[in-house]
Amino acid sequence: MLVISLIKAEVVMSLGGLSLRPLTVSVAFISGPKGGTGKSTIVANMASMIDEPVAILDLGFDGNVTASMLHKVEYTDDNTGFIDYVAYGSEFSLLESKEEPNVKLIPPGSLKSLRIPRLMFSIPLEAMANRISNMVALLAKNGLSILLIDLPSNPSFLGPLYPLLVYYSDIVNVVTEPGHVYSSILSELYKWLVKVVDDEAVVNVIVNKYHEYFDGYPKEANRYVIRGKVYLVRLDPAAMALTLKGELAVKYKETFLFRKSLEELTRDIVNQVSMYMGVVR
Amino acid sequence: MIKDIDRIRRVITEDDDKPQQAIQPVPVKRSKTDIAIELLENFTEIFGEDDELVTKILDKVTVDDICIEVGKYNSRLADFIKVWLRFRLSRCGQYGEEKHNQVQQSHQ
Repeated sequence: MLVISLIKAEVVMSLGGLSLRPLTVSVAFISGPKGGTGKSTIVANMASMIDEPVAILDLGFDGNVTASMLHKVEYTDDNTGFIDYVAYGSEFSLLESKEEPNVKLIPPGSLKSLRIPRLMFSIPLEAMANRISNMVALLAKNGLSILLIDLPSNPSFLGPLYPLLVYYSDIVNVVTEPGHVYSSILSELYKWLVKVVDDEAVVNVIVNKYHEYFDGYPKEANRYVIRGKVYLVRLDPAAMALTLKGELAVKYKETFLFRKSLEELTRDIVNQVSMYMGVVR
Repeated sequence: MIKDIDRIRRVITEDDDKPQQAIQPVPVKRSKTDIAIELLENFTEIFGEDDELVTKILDKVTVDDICIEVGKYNSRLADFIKVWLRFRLSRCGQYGEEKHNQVQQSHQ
């Protein structure tokens, strides 16, 4: 399997002993209100293709924490996670993937999803923002260069934490499906995104489950890109079947369509991460 | 880079700042029966269980006044209300009926 390495940025970061460049780059995956677009599948498979220490922040608790499931990580009630950390400042677990040793997973937390939005509204925005930046610093200290954030489809599940996480992401990937019906979702999401994303952020659009039959759609997707690109991840029944079985599809040679698309996507995102760290290939 | 949290605060409170648009009733063509049913609903609500209120209202207007107004929309409903009101008045006790008769006489 192809592994994609990140150009190390130590030289740039050591300049003057003080740098404002990030040591860990946050890459968020969102889809608007539409679930099942394949965010978690892309996140889990992408992490396994990167030859760098990667952390996955799995917030897919509106579904079945697919990203963790694909890395064969199961959570118990004792696993305090990201939500506990943001809400109470308690420690969060960093669990090792059973599939890839370089991948670590941050569980969503022990709190029940229905209580989360109310809880998040009760915490000052500054406190949450501080904890997010502290977490990124902590990951950097542990040598994790990339943080892949798998956000839930429904933004209301996280209350104000959702826009905050998007704002703190350096690269935002909007995962959508082909078909004109998704155009309106994408255009609404874009209106919201331009208000939320950081001025230096990159926004990519990933059209997952793409097939030639859906002619014309990617051209429209171009409108919703900010400094990024539109990526097509091909519709691959073998990859879908393997995902449903709880397997990382990129590890199987039958899924060459999916693997090829994901390789291109991963390579580009790793390049964007490198650029963010101040390195140009 | 210093993050501007107020930007997110604005996004979160955006919906609260927007002036809430009053929900406009959808104009629908209403038949006379619809109007009559609505009248009946309002009517039974006003003349429901409060004996004192019934007596007070019928001090000001007569049963016939009400029935003439309702009859403009639906004559069968007016007939029903006439009977219903007489019955309702009898439940208000001796005072209600007597008082009402006096009002009716003064109208005549």
